[in-house]
Amino acid sequence: MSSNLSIDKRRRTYVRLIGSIQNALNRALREEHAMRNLTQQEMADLLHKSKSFISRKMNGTSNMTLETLADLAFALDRTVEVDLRPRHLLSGQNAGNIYNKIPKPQPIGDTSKSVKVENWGPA
Amino acid sequence: MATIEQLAQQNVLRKHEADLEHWEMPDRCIYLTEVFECWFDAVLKPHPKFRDRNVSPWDQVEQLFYEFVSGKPMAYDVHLKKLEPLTQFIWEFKMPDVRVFGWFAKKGHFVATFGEFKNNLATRKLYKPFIDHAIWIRDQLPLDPPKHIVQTRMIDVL
Repeated sequence: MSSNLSIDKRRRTYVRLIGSIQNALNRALREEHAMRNLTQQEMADLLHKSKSFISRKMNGTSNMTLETLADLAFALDRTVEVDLRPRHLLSGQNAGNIYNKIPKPQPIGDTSKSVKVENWGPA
Repeated sequence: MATIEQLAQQNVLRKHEADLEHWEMPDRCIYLTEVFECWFDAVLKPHPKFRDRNVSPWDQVEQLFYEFVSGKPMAYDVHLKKLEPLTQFIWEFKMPDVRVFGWFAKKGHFVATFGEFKNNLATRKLYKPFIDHAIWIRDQLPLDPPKHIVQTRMIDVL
């Protein structure tokens, strides 16, 4: 037997959008933290907000305006890309979760570039 | 004794069918106990959004289950966390307003035993009863040994 906790398609589009924004923000912060030790406190200082404000926005626990999203992107030194893709052209897209983490092939004999495979979470 | 797939066929557990898009394939599995489903339908589903939240508790659970099943990256202590005592191998799924308890029967296969609102857990210190409940359910299930993953890292369970 199987169980389906599904929601209607209109609602699902909104919930998926919120989830993807939250995941993108947290992924960006993890990357910036790894690269230059950026913290939520530093983001808060840049935006003249409290750390709890940043934390609430980053973990998706409170409503967020487009202006706040842009502010968070600014604090992360990132840009925001918006892409509305036709649903019927998206076959096989969740394979991208795996395949976009595989490094591009390097020229044979070229050892000057390090190969980095992204980790999905702390070990 | 039986595999987890056989337990789902026997209706002892229910396999969660995540609300995937038509172009997505399931990458991981969630199995629900009857008690979890009852809690979901009776308590979680009708619960309104908490103040200042984007989405309802139900939406939060549905979204995280979707991300898990569709193979999205999961971060430790953001989406998933192993609970103390670590020797019991009970994990929680973390959402802004909800916690879901259970264990990994095998890599990528989570058994959800119960859920609770985060506020109730924080104020009533309810973690232990939910951990004990998950262990009790696991002990009762006629699941082939080993009944759970004993490793502690995300890469071991996902």
